[in-house]
Amino acid sequence: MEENERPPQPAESTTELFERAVRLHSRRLLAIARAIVGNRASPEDVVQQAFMNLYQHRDRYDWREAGGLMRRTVVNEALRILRQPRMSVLPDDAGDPGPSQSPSRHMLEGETVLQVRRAIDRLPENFRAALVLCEYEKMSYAQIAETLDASIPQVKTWIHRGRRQLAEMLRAYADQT
Amino acid sequence: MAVNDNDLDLLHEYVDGELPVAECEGLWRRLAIEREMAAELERLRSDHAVRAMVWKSLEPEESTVARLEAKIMRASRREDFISWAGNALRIGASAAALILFGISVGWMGKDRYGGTPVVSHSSQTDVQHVASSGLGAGATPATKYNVELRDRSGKLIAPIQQFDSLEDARQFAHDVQAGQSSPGGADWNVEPAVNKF
Repeated sequence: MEENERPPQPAESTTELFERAVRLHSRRLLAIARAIVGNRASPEDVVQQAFMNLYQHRDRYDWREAGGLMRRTVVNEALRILRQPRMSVLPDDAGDPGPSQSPSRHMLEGETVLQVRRAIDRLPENFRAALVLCEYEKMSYAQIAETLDASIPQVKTWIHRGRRQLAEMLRAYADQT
Repeated sequence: MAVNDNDLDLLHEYVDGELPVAECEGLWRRLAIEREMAAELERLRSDHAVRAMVWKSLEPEESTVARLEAKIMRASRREDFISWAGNALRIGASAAALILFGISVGWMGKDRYGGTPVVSHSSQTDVQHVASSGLGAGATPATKYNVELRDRSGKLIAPIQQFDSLEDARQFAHDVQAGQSSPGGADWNVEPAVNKF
């Protein structure tokens, strides 16, 4: 979880720093938002709304190391949207395994990824958020606790239970097929 | 021996790199002798590898990222403009309010301080006698004479005194003029006028 940010130029304005941070982090934050909201909301809208919330109060923040701030805001915005009254469900794009999936990749692997994605999507929102931050962002339990405004034992429970539930769901799927 | 929940939590922490070094050594010793623990660790690592593929599959395409960045940049510039316009509007409104206030104060002050100081000249022309309305003296037993103070422009400053006879009113007006014109007298800058009503 390193900040691959070049040292800022002295003359860079807040707007320039913000735009640089957007370019640097938007890809990973979009993946995190997609993991958390699944098909319940548009991940692009989540990220855009989170960034604009930050931009409206841009003078309050230090934009030279904005990765943690942006991640926390995107996660909170995604969870906030999920806690709103149920919205219309977007078309399920879980069938699209993403750009990393080349046509030559084994079909079985694609099917496994698809089933795991669907299983992750059925986890409680806090479990999903904690899991993606732990495994995709490689954050420590303490950092996840800070991001999700929870205690470390709580985060540990979410991650461990999330994995067990995933294993059970996939075992049930394997038994069916 | 089956792996219990505590051992499973221990393995999860180990996979996540959260297990303290001291506990790692104990775990390694157990893994070397407990086959079920070692198998469970393998299973966790295998699940972890599958999920790594899932996370990777969630990464957006370049075009999606570019579209999102463009939308954010546009929105941030719109926010800049709204912020700038809001500030400009506030400054404009404040300036307009200040100007309006200044004009109002000036307009009110004009009435009070706009008159030119008058040095009264005692003469009969300064004393205006309003003719009787035509009623007989007997018909209007309560006729009064009012001495008014006016500035040079003729604006009424104050009705000052009522008199029962014209002679008394004129005398009072004369006294006021005399008081103004005498050295060391009051500097009222007014012209007394006598009106009948």
